[in-house]
Amino acid sequence: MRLVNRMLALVIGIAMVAIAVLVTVEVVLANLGQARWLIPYQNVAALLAGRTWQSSSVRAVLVAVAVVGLVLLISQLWPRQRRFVELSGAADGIDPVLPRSSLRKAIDAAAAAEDGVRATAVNLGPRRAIIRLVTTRHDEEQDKEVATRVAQRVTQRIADIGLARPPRVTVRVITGGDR
Amino acid sequence: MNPRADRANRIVLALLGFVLLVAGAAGIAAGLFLFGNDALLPAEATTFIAANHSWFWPAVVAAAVLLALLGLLWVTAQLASDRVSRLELASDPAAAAARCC
Repeated sequence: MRLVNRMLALVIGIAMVAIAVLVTVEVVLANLGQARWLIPYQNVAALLAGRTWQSSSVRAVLVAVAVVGLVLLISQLWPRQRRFVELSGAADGIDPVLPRSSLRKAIDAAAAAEDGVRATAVNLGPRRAIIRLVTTRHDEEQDKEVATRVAQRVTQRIADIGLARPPRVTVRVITGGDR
Repeated sequence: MNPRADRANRIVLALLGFVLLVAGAAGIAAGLFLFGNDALLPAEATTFIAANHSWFWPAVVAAAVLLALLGLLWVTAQLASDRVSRLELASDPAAAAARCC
């Protein structure tokens, strides 16, 4: 989202500058009695004068503007995950942190290292780490055992890292097969 | 990426979203309840602009310059980084170690 915001900021910022330059040049040219540069303002004025607030085209544009505004507002107000998780051992003026992506990779690596695991996917929330596993076996009993071992290994890995607020580990197994 | 720029982007885009939402909703409400069959650009507006062109167009240019400055400020904020560009090395390693650890 940060990257999307940055791209939006660049596009809108450049558009603001371009519009401002265009308007300034047009006003100056008009005041000097010169021909217009790019904006056909007579046509624009005629177009606006010919439309009412009830015109369907005007209403469509207004609805589009309102929807874009609503989407933009909601997307910005929606709470975001923090980029860093706090580590224990904060001292005066020093708050040790770990990138969330690094924690996710560490959890993923710990889960994938367990015997009987073919594939993993980690969903890391503020309070919970959900690990989805695909096992190499058909057996449900063995899958349960794999899930328990993965949960233990990941919990231990998280404890080793030393997070200030370790997430709860949940393991979900998708039974696989020998392929 | 600069966290301050990220925060500023979020605030400015949220404000922009709010303004667009209010403008769109106000326009729809105007079409439904308020202005009836009024033109988007009524004759009174063009008369007003013609009667006050001595200050109206300079005001438009001033607003455009302000818009350009804000746009430039916003664009340049995207290029800012919070990375340290240079680190000063201590000439006395012992003093540096004492300060560091």
